[in-house]
Amino acid sequence: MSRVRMIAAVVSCIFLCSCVVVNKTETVQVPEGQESAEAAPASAPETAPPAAQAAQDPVEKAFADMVAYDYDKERACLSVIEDYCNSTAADPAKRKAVSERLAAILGTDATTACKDFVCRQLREIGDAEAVPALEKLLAAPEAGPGAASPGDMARYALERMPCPEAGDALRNALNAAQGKTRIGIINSLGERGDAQSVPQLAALADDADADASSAAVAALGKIGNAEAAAKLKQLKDACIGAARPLVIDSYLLCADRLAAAGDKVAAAAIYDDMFCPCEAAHVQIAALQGIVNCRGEMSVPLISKLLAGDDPNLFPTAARYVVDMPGQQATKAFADQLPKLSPAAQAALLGALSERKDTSATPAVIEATKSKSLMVRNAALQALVPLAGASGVPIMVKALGSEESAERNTALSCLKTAQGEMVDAAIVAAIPGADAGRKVALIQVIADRNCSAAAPILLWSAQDADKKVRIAAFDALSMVAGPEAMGDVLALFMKSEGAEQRAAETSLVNAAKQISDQDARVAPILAELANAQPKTRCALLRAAGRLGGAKALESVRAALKSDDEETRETALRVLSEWPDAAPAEELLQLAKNAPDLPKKVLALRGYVRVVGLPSERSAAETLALFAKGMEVAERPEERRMVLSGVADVSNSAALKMVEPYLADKDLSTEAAFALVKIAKNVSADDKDAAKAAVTKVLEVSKSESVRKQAQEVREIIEKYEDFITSWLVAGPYLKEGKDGKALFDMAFPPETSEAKSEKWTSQKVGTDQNRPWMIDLNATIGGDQRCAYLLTKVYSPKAQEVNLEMGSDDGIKVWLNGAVVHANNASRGMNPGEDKVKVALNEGWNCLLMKITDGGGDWSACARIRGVDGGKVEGLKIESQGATELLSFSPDTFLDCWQVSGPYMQEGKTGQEIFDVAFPPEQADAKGVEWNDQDVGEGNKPWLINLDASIGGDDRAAYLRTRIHSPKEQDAQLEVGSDDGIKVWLNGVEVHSNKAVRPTTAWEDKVKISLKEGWNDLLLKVVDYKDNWSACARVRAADGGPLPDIKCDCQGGLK
Amino acid sequence: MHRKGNVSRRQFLTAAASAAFAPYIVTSNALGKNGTPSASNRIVMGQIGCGGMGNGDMGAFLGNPECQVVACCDVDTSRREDSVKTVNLRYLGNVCKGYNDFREIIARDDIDAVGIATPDHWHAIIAIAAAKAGKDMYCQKPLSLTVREGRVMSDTIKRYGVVFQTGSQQRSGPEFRFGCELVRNERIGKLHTIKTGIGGSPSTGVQPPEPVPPGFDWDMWLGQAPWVPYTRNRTHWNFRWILDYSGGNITDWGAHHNDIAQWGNGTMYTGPIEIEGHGVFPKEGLYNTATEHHTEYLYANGVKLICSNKNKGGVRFEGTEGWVHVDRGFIDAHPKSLLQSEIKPGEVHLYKSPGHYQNFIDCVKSRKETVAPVEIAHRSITLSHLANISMLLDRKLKWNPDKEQFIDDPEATRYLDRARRSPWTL
Repeated sequence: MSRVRMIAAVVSCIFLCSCVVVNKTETVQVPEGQESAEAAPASAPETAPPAAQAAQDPVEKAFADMVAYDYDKERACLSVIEDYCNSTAADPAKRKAVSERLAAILGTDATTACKDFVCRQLREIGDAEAVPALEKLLAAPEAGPGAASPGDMARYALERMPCPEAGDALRNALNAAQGKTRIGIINSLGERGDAQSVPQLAALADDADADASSAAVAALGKIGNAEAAAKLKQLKDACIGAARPLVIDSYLLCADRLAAAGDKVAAAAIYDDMFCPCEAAHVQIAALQGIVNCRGEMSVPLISKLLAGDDPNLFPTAARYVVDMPGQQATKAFADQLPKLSPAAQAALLGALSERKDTSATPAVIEATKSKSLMVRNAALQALVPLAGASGVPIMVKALGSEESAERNTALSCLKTAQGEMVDAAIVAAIPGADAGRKVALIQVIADRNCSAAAPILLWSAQDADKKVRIAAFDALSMVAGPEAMGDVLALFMKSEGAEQRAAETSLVNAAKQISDQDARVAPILAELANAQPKTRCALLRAAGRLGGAKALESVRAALKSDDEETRETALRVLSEWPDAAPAEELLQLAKNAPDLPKKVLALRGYVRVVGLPSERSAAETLALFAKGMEVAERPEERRMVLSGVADVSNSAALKMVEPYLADKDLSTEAAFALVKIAKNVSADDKDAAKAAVTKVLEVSKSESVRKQAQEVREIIEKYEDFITSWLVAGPYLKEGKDGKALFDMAFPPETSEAKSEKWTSQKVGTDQNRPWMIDLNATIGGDQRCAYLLTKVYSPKAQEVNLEMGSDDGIKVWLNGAVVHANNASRGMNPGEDKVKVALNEGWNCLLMKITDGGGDWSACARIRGVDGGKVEGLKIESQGATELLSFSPDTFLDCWQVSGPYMQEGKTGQEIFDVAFPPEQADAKGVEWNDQDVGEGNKPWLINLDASIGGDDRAAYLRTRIHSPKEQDAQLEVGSDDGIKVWLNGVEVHSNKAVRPTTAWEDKVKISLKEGWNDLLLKVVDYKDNWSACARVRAADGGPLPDIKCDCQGGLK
Repeated sequence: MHRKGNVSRRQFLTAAASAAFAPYIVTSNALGKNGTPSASNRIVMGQIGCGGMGNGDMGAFLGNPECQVVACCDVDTSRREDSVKTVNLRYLGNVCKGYNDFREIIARDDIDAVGIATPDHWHAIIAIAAAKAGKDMYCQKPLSLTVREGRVMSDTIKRYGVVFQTGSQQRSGPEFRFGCELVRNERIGKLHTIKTGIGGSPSTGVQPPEPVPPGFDWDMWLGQAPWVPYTRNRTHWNFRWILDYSGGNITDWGAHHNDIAQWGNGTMYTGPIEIEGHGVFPKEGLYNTATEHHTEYLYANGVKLICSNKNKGGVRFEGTEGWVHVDRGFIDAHPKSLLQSEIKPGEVHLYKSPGHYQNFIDCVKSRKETVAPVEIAHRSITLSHLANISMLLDRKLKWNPDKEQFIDDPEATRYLDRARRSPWTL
């Protein structure tokens, strides 16, 4: 321990709350040689800064303030000290000085919260010079419940300080310490791995105080040297009580420490000692792990013994060590042992051998696939996957024929996952010799492995004597066959029939589709048409039809005129299944002129189908085509079919087309279903039409199921209908080198007087069908690190307060009638309604402008208006057209420039009691009052004057002053909010007084005032009772509307 | 007395599972009627921490017929009693007991496994005690409060061979696994940069001390953390914004996204060699975790990981030939065709979990390693702890991931752990 000597130090403490400077003299210890002015500026009377200087230097002021810091106060002074401490990193002398200066505070009567902070700082920067003061705390009496103990705080620093003096201090304090302080010291010595403390801890391990003894036992394990091990062994041998698990744990930990330090012999002796069936399973596991770590390959016999034993609990653990045991010798030993083990042990060992990935075990694993035990055979098959490569394939193939389904399934899954270059080839090679069942399985494996080289064997299998094999081969070919196999597949296709031909058709079509040219892919098929027999011709037409294209269509058209009835009918069917709308007109004509009803129905069904396929056509064109279909349809069945086609057109014009059919008794149900479906799809674009349609369905339809669907759609529309879907958009706006966050407070034209001349374009909301309420700027504008503005107007039938609910990705700033009502410079994803702000709508039209910033990734926004109770607001109208006319800005409508004076209080009086006390600022001669600038705005409340932040405390008053410029004499409305009470003077006359106890709600109190032309002086008194303390104020026109020509200034000319 | 010869339910199940060597199947003799394991053969569980995440975890175990919850622990009496009520209602009987002190649950020989969903500063002490008692556990993320805590947790859990699942459920999400498989199989070429997007923490004003609510054991809630007077915003949920109990959003979400970054980078068992973090910490008010943060990590394999509140949410892997971006329920890639890519036999296939809770239950029975084991969770959360240290010191740090030590940096080393309030220790 370093020598110390006593000097007197003065710590300046300024207690802000009483505005009195208190000097305290304290005796503290400072290491020798550190008493120079540079080293300890606050510790000698001559260097103690005068109060005036302290007030000027932020660090000095923070040192002065911090001694009175408490948990109910702002910690700004602590932050200054933290920053200062950090700044000394490169200057050891400065760091030592500040550490000393902090340590000195521990001996004063600074608050506990302050000392707590000092100890936290010393943990980070303290060194030997701080130890004596901390050591004193270790000797201080323990605090009772509900308070911080000095010992805990001291250890918070000492435990993490690397200097040996910290360890000395802990050891020195140990003998005299009691209770929790003593336990804490023991714990800290353990955590420091303090070998010098072992004799003391060893003695404490026998202490009568069970808590202290337990702590000592734990600490001995953490220190873990030979001396600690000896004591722990002694304890373990003697201990049989409740303390035994802790002793064993510590003993094992001690062995781990010894092993890590290189003394594997001593460690292994402990593990051997603990590896006993008499111990709990997890203790045996821990001991076994230690033995393996210390002895390596030497522990193979032990693991073998475990596997050969009768405790299955230990098999998984033993298997884990098999995996990690190094060397081929170990593999050999385990492989040799395999057949001699119980099935459960064999299964565990096989799993481990497979994880070892040492292929020298493969013969033993192969042998195990012949075991009588199903469990062993399955485990062996699984082990073959990583070990055997292609050589395992024949064994797996053989197992495919097992009588046990579990084994067949294992073999199948092993074949699908087997790894190695030649595995595919081995599987292919196994097919010719396999029976039909295995062939089918192997063909499925090939398809699953997507083995493209297997086409020849599959073509060969497609001619197998067994039909199941042939079908499986065609199915596999449809996955793996390329265009080069097309000729062979076509030949086989023409020979096949029934289910086999359908499978062949798919493989033919899939192979052809890999040729990019549409006519080339179908050419080989069409070439066969001319000479084919009718049955084959029909099959060829079906295949060609699935591929589509002009050439194929030509051939099918020709077939429509064939002499052969079956060919004509097939051609019609193929046409009705055409992959695009090319034959639409043809199908319509066929439907009109069909000789019989079935053909008419078939043609019309085909027509409706192809018209409904995705296309480039406009919705109006598609509807016109359906209308033609409706003309041709005669029976209700066909007309319903057309309606079901119209139902898929997502356009409100489709609603108009369908609605008349609601009145047709034969079609009303189908029409109702169609209306509901269309309404659902168009609800984001045209919610009024959609809502009207489902409302009509609910009035008319008697079908329960359609009514239920209609009700659901109406609820969705109503749920989202308040979201504003009509916006004008301007943007993007960006600035080189500025990210989204930085753009938030940059005023681009749309938020200035140039707003009207910007290009505003109408933008669609709900481009994402699942989020019909969202305007997706990423989709419509795109890009990163930019912003855009959204503008609309809102009609309110009366002046009223409403909630504006918003979501944004990322930041959002909102102006209502030119005044900022919300600002949140967030980085976040879209979450509708995440931000809610109460706003006042004027009667008539209101202008709503939102700025949405993007810091990368998605970029979107949404907003809706709800009542202050969260319910729907009746009578609102929202439209973006003409909203630019309403654009105006009155940035001064909330008063954002203030000076503050205070706090003012009276000893023993509450805030309510001083509400009417006239402090100097409201007295006639207010000269000599000190005024400071006051920040305005916090988080999403740009208008908030936070007095807690600038002054703080409870039961006090502050005054705020500013001046307002009016271009003429006029009546106006002053609107204020306050937490808590507020008084207002305008031009020296009291105009408002409200002794409220409340949180600040924007513009809660409204006061009629008369402004004179030119500058008007405004003075507020805001009184705090408890907790928060804040206010806000703005000036509006007498009718509550915006008053754009008002200016606010507090910088000059204040009286 | 120690429980020599006292085979717990879990050990019984282990025996049954080993005998079948079918990890996911309980032998029929362990089954009750209707295919549900009989009560005596279920995994008997206790839930420690009954807040939002605790109730979520417990709900999953209550819904699983292979589990039986018999104990709930919380230092907030009303939460504890609500959870006990939930359990008893689920089993239609008075079967669940409530505890204020987790040590009483760990001391119960009939309990096989515990769920841990306390505030972060309690994870290590409870998990280490549970491991020493041979209990398996499902422990919420972030794993630890300090690097040292995670190291001791991992070592102790490994020593006793207990099963541990970290509540970083993204590891069981198919989109995250597939995204990492695309990276590990070099579908995006050679990986060079990973970007994780994690928001900043909020700030707040001064929160004056308040009376401790009746039924709330404030001293036990604080546990190892330095004593301070009670105020509600220190506790439920908001504890995570205070460095005494957590590391802010960086640990809260780093436990997810940086964990996936490590998975894709194949560095689950190691860590970066350089860390440079800069952040903004509130200077006032109760909360003191970073409101804005940006940390760049450099790995020995040359890959750079950039974790920032300015990055898009989720994890983006950038390679020489493309990129993959994965987030919850979302995966995108360039080229788009990667999304249709198939991972073939012989390529890197990552651990496929059937669901995070089920994976835990399966592993309790098979004794196999879970998809989010403690060592991996420790390595992942170490990234967040290192970011906080670098930001607090406002400078670059050099790190030896093998030794888990800073290189010649005694100042930073102090931050690797904190002294614990007596009597708590690891």
